[in-house]
Amino acid sequence: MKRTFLWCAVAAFLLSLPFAAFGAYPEKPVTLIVASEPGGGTDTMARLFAKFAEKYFPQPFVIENRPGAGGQIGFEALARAKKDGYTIGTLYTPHVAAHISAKRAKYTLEDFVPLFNFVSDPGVVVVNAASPFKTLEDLVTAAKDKKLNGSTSGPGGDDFFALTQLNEAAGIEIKSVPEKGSSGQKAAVLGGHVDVGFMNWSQIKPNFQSGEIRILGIMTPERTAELPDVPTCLEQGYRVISDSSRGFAAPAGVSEEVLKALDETFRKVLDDAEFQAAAKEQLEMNVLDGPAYKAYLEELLTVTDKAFEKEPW
Amino acid sequence: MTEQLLPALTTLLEPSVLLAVFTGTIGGILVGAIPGLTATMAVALLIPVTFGMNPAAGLALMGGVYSGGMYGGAISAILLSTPGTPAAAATSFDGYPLARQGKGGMALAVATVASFWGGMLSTAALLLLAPALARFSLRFGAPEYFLLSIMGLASIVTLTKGNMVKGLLSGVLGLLLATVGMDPLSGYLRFSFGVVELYDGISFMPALIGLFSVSQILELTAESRILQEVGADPATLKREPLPKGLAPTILRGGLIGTLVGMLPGAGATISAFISYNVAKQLSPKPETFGKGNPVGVAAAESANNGCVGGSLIPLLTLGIPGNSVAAALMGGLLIHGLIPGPELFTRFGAVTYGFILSLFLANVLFLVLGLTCAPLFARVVRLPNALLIPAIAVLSVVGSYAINNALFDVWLMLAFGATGYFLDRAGFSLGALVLGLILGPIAELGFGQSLIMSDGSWRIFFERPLCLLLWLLIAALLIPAFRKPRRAKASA
Repeated sequence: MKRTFLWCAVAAFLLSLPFAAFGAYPEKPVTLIVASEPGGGTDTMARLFAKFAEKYFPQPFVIENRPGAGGQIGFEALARAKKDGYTIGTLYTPHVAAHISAKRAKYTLEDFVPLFNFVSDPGVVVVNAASPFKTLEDLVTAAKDKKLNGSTSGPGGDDFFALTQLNEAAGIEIKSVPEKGSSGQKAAVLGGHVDVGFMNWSQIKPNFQSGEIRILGIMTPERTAELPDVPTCLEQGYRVISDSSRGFAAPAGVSEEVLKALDETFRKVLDDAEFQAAAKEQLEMNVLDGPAYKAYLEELLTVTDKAFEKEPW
Repeated sequence: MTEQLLPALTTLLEPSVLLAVFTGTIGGILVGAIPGLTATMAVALLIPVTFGMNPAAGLALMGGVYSGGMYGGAISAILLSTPGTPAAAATSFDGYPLARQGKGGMALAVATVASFWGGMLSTAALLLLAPALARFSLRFGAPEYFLLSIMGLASIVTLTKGNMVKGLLSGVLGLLLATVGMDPLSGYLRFSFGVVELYDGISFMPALIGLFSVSQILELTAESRILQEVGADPATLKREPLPKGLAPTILRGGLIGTLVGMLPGAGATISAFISYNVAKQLSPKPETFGKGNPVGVAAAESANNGCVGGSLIPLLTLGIPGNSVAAALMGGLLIHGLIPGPELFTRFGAVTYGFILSLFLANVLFLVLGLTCAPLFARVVRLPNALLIPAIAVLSVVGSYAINNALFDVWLMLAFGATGYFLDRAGFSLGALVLGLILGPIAELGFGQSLIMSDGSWRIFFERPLCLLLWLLIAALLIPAFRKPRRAKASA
């Protein structure tokens, strides 16, 4: 009796093997490389996605944080990952392109298949509420008379590019005071240690709502739905267009079948009402599907290439 | 505020919230005690989990992890000289010698009580003075950060036992190592030799684990047990009363922790070092520090737990997180639509004050747990080294890897461990080296930013009132250290 049972078990095990080997994707958890530290904007985006994907994807997405070198370590890990569909990852701009322009990256954009962009966080020019500058014009006029300091997140980042764009568009020379991260920038602007800050909307949203800071201009081509009363830099006569975006990509070379399954999952998560509610509070959602995301990244690369040529970092 | 406290208290007493505080604190202590697992990581992992919970319970869970994690770091620092968190590095200076003398149970109890009061004090500051303190923290600009890091570096003089030249050399070595990686001002890569893992500089936690714990392992291989006193039994120390006269040290530590904790870019590690330094300078017997003086443990622990409340002050009022754990916590706030600012204390008062009250509770919880378990934990040092050394080695490797999920960090940790062992043997100060490594980047960034702001004039460091105050404090911390040796020589 016992022996029969054992044999049955062995037979069942052997029979199940072919299914295990040739089962449909996905048959094991998918690793999701996050190219930043736990707790940051990219990490939160990935964790929210992973949480809501549970409903629609038969296997879990397992987050693996690979922070460091402005995302380069995580981007490289993604580019070099096995192309079996069990590793995907995050990209964020402008870093992913800036590393290529600076010739430090051991990857190119061709190493990735962009899946979906989730977040675009527009750049904003901000001043302390007590600042005498009310418009971009005031700032530019003052900058022509005396030396002004502007807080940025450091060389090679979107804030620095934005500052360079404004300097060029207005023919002024605002000096960049680099900070490590947005907390330092916020403190510098709120504490009045710099004349102006180049930041991203999501970073200063609470301070804007409580009236502690003023936005002189938003760096989108047109006014945004969320801030209809805030003028763009462009409409004030200065061509400053910049944002920082976050999305997902797979390593180039994964099969069509895998891409289709992933694409479907992303679409379902994006349509999920609960996800939308969670994302609304946390993420500046701006969804681009694969082809649109790819085009966006390629265009960005030409911008960062030009920026590096002019003022390398 | 008072009308908000009653609803907040009701929120706190909901079973789900109480359970969250309890789970969070215990989880935090475990995470804190294991090197390589940090409170930041734990809070980040919890963000999506808390989304489904009610906001009060979610925040209480994260607050518990934060408080427990900050305290938990002390356990491994004291017993194994392996700080579970960087902030506990200064705790090991006196905690570990105490453990070796068979007073590990007492050292743990001191750490628990000091952490408790530090946490209570800073949470009280958060509850009562948050807006005013947040305004004050904004007055710290680049020149002040530079001077604050100089103040931290002044502790090198204190940390050094014996040869001052070697102590200063150790600090300089730390500062030199801190220059590896990207120049914060120009983005230029220094001494990274194309190794992408070095672009951000030397990863701090692996270096710390290497210097403190691996060099300790090598030291221990020559002995059979950590415990030096043959007759001492840590389990019998349960009834030993706490040393007297710790109250002023703990009070000072809590204040230093709160003040330094609310400055973004400074943090718990620096506050612990500064508090340790102050305690040693004010002590009538500074020479006993580093050899197992419970005051040293109390100073460091009260300061690093003081940072918990401190770092939440600018977070809740201005949306500026005081450190990386607070930054991760901000994600947890935002996901519930709790946007930092004045509204948090009015419209969302019940949740916010409930969260603050839950921190008090978390402190009480780890106090009870810590005091009950201290004698139990302290038995670890009775284990033979043949068991302990492999265990510490495994923890060190796993911990270094876990921080960035990078094998490179494991090699880095081993390299620091081997170097640290020989440096220690040769009489160099590992504490001073660590201090240089932590403070180097802050000092460099502050110095560079200041000079950009002032157009290259050094006067910016002397014109601002807060700068002058910091210069005075630096002088006050340095003078006794240079005066005492001379006096000692005269009497000899």
